[in-house]
Amino acid sequence: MKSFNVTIEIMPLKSVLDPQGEAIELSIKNNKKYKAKNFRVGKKIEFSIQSKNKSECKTTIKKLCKDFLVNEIIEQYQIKIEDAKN
Amino acid sequence: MKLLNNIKLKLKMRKINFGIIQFPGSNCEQDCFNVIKNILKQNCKYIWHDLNSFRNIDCIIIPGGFSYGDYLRTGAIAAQSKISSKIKNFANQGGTVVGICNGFQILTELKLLPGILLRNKSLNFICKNTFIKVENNETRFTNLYEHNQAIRIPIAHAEGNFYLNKNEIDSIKKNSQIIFTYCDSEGNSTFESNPNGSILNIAGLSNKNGNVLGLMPHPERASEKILGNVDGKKLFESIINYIN
Repeated sequence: MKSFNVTIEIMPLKSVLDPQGEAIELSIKNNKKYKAKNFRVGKKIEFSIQSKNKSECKTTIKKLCKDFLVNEIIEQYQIKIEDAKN
Repeated sequence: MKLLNNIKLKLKMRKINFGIIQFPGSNCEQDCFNVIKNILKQNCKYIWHDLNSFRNIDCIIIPGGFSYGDYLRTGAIAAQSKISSKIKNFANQGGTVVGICNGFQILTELKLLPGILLRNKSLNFICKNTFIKVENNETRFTNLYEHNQAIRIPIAHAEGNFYLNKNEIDSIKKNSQIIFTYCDSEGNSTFESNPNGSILNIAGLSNKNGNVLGLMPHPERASEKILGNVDGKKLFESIINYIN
């Protein structure tokens, strides 16, 4: 078994209201200091996992995301897998 | 004669066994317990989230609160608990399940109900009385209400903005799954009467089979004369009526 470090980046789907992003954008607009826009707020989850190989690891993580970490009605996600340095 | 019939009917009715699920962070279970046990004189017990089973239960209630601190997504961690898989089995076998507020959020995370509850459109936590319309009174949860009746029930939530993929909307309409919608005091479902931005003003909906109900308003907070409002009591009485 090998150890992998995993990062999952979760973002709200474009079609879904992102109130945190909107609140940030409104604040930025109001103070007029920065010309930044199109804010979206997501989350990042890190963990380590043991698996036979990278491919099996990816399959397990996809299942974990689908079952628990991500709600695909409103969110999309990206998985990053790295070999853990022992 | 009518009185005699009523007495006979009451004698025939057995006490219903309600089970109220307790998660770390649940905070409306005692209100539900009070209504069921003290007002409606039914059997009622708490079921701790860490249990592997429950027995002799006619109706499961998942109460409001902030299970697991609303971490990850509201209801997401509760949906992974031991008892949740038992609730899922119970519901899939036709058992009666009601999720109120956080309970509704948990039921969507369990995929027992379609859609999901998002942050309120205003971003505020809203705690106030709302009117909701009984869209479907041919259910085990609403059979003692009139069709299209407007009832006054309080809400108290930050994530009550019901969202559903466009392709599923027709299906819930077709199956009469929309049970309650936010409305004005006259029963008109208007933009202004929608407190949280819910799609189609939805305040409560059932699964396709009609045995699972989720609703954001709190009927248990409107079931006692001393609280000044008994509009929610008929929801519990409807369940008792159906099971008997």
